[in-house]
Amino acid sequence: MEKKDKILINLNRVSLIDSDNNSRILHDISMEVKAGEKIFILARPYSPAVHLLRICATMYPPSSGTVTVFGRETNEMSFSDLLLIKRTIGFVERVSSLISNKSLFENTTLGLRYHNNISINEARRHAHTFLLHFDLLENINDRPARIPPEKLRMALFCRELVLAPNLMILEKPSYGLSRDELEFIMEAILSYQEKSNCGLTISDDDADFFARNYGFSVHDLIDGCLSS
Amino acid sequence: MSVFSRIRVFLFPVVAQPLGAIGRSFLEMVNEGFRMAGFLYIIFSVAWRHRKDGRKVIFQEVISQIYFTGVQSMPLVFVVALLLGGLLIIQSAEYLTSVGEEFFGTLVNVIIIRELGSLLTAIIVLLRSGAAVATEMGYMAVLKETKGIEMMGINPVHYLAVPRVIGISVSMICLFVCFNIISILGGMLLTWMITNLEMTNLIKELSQSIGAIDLFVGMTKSLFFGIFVSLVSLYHGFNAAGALTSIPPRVSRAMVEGLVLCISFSAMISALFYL
Repeated sequence: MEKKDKILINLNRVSLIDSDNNSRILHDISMEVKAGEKIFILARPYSPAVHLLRICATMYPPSSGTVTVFGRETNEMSFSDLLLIKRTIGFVERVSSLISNKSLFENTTLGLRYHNNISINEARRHAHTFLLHFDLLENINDRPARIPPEKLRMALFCRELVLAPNLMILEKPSYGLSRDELEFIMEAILSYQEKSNCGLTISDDDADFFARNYGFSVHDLIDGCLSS
Repeated sequence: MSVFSRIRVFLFPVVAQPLGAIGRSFLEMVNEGFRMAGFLYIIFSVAWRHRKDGRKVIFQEVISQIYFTGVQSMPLVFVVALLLGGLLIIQSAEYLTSVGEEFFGTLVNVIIIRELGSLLTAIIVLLRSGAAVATEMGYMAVLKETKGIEMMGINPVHYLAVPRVIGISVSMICLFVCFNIISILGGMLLTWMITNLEMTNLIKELSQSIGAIDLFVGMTKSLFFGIFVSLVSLYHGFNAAGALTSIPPRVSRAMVEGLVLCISFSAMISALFYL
């Protein structure tokens, strides 16, 4: 199999049922994300796109069906094994936040320092390009409460990119950002994708923007079922 | 309806309902105890499993926790220890003069080293660091910061809980030693000032009355108090969910449970070693 065709995520007949009221959230979804591929899932109001993304990011298991990430089926995996998978997935949720009592630098380089067991100075050297690109250097020692919201959002993307993921999953990247800022972030992510050949799955509400400008293949979620 | 049935109908709500409520509370307490023991097991097993991961980051977190719990609470411990040593002598000055130096050694050993030194240190750490840890963890859980840590491939228990357990336990032992030294010195100073007892005799009596077992028991207690304080704070912090308003009740429960746990354990260890 060529590197380009390497399947990063495979969802096979995945369904999700709300255990509280037994209602169906996702129904019989099968999809694949290959290396270098760009998938867009249209998030209509009240659509369960976020649940689909969370299943892809191995945040929780489906009620039925199988999820295979990087060739390994996740249903039977232990929490420690899942952590190894999560490390290679860059997932930015709409509501995710930085650690409030750590500086921006500590936040963006935490994964890098933890996994590579490197000192703060080494982490600074590694992360410098991303911090500079996202214009975060001037706030590097500030805690999240003192940083403007759009920069916080940038820092979330930066935190994931620093870890060099094989797959990026973004929930509503446009949230809290102007069109210019969104374009800036998308360019940074796509340039990373070009270099690393990572897969990219995005869920947002403006399918046209992502399909026209960046060539995403658009999928729609209607009644919990996925259609192209 | 027979008299017996009437009595039964009358008594049921009066007796059975409160008994049922007590029983349910007891079972819930036992259940909570098991869940907490399970959480402690998770902390230790995660610490062992990830012992080689992120050492620099974890070490930095341990140092920060020791600084916050051990160093920053020193002034408070100093004042409380000095006051305790002073109070002890003020209350027993009359007996000290009539009974003599040997009473001083026993008094200090029994009250400070064996019991109050470790217990008061634990209460100070619980109220100061325990409350802070429970609130911090509660905020992190509610604001989904722990999920963010998990998505970076880091086990939140390893990054957040393990350094706090180590940091608080180490600090607790160090604070116990400092507490004892300060309260003994304070007590001796006051004794020397308000009684006519000889200082050299006081020191001699003190060194004779304090045995290695007393220090060992005190340190063991402090180690376990450190584990208990961090455990209840982390357990309630990690389990805060939903809204930010769920955090204060969790912190309050952590404080109460921590206090009960420390006092019960102290009584149990004292009974085991000294009865």
